[in-house]
Amino acid sequence: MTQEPLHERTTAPSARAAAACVGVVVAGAPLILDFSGTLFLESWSMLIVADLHLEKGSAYARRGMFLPPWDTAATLERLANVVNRWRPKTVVALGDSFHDPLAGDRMALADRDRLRSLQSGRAWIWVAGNHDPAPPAAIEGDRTDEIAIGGLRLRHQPRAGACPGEIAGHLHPAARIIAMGGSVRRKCFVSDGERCVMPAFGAYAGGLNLRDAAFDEIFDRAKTAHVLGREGIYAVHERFCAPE
Amino acid sequence: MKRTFRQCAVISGMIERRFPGLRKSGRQVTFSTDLVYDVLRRHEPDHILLRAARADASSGLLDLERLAAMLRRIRGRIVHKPLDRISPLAVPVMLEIGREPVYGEAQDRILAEAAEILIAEAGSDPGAPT
Repeated sequence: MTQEPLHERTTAPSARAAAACVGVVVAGAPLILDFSGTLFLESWSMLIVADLHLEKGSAYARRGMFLPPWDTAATLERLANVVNRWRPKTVVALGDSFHDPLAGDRMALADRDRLRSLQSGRAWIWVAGNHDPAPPAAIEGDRTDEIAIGGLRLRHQPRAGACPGEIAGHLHPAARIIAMGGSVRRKCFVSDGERCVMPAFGAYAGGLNLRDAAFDEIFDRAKTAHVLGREGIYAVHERFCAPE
Repeated sequence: MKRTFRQCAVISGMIERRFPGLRKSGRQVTFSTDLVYDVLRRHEPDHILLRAARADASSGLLDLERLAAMLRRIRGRIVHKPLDRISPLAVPVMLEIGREPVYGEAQDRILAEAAEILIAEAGSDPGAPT
């Protein structure tokens, strides 16, 4: 093979400890990207999480595809870990938090309790998504279509064309990286420094390759993928991200 | 293990087989058995499909007994010969390079490698999008 032998430089990368979070600037605003796939705005003590897709497993089961039903518990458990780490004053769920309008009814009691305890002592805002134009009635928290804060626009679905300061979800970005003779596919943040698309947090939320045409409609500058590893977050230029 | 689990999930009928050439519609994101695998491992480690996957993996990916027998058989009779081109029997293996998904610890090593390149090129803050 003529390919550069990446694997022969074994010392440098492993010697560097992976960072659990990284600070970036989007449209002049400082953001902290966490390797859990959440975004933290320090000045407002605000934690943003996108595309939880709670009860996706049970939604599929209703249509005859019997996925194991633990996805809501798994998602909330991971979310609890992040919330306990950052202790935000406000949590923003950036849309598609519930997989469908009846998701609230199907949620197990234990999961509802877990969500309620996460919400206690802090503000909680459900941003509307295409899967959940309104959150289930029994679920606490404020609801809104979008949030404007410190030059940023938080909304579920990214808008086509230039949109500086937009933080969105919806697209479930994932990066595929090929090196050392193998390939890795992981969820990621995508940003060009002007706007940012967040990874889907839900345990059963899949990923869309960032080389997909859907991303061309919203980014016209070079993108960086902040890829969620098992131990940290890694900034990878889109040039090194392979298509499917 | 995830690969073996995918086969078990397809055979059990839990998920549909993906046919080559059949494109996923629109932007709808792939639903992957990897995600189910991770959730099951944590919340129902004794699930029948995980048990099946473990049983299959112990012989399916690499039959260690056969490999051991072959190594015993060819011991002392291995001919090492550098070729100036790829030998026909090596073609399938060469085609797999870069295509096999890597799981586990090695994932972060690959990501770190790719990130290093960006840092080296930018010569500055790895976080700053360029």
